[in-house]
Amino acid sequence: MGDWVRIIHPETGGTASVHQGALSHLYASGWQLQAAPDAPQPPVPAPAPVPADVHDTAVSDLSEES
Amino acid sequence: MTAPPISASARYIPESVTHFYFVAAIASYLSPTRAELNAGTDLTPEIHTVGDWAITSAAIPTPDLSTLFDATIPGKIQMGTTTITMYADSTSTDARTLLPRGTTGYIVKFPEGDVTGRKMDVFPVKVGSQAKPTVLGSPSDITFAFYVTKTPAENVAVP
Repeated sequence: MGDWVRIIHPETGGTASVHQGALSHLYASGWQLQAAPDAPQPPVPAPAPVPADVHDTAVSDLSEES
Repeated sequence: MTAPPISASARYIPESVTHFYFVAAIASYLSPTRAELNAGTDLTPEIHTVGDWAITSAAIPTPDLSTLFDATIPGKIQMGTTTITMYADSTSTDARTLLPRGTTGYIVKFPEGDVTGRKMDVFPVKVGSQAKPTVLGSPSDITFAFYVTKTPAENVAVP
């Protein structure tokens, strides 16, 4: 059953369940894939760790100005 | 004085006039909107033959003891042959991809074309099969069998 997807038509608001193979036909009529609300979201990349020496440099710069 | 004749019809043959659409979704199939029809797919250019898509009623006999005549009353609404046969593509990219078995939606028949004010029939359907007969010497085609899942909307004005 994984070959079936939900589509939505932005103009009519209509939704339907169709086979993935039909998408090329339906795109021509303006249909779009509907994002499933419970679909797993792509993982958000963790922020890059800040090197310790960068923080130390900033502090030392401030101390030099004062 | 005799009864006046019915008004004369402008007669036609279905080729180049009648259209069949497949529409994936219609909010109220008893009165589709123009936008919903435009979101459909016009199957007409690939159609080879079609079933009659007749909306009929069975005759229920109601015999009684007082007469030899078997009177009948209208019974349940039934469908005639609900098939559409379309040409097959040599690379297999044809209506099979749009209408695999199990697909639900609506077949809209425009006997006199998709013209505002004329009449159309709307059939809620589910695709039952895709028969691929091999007939030597003839263009290969696919016969799609549709099962009508709810009472069709008959003679709806085209929006």
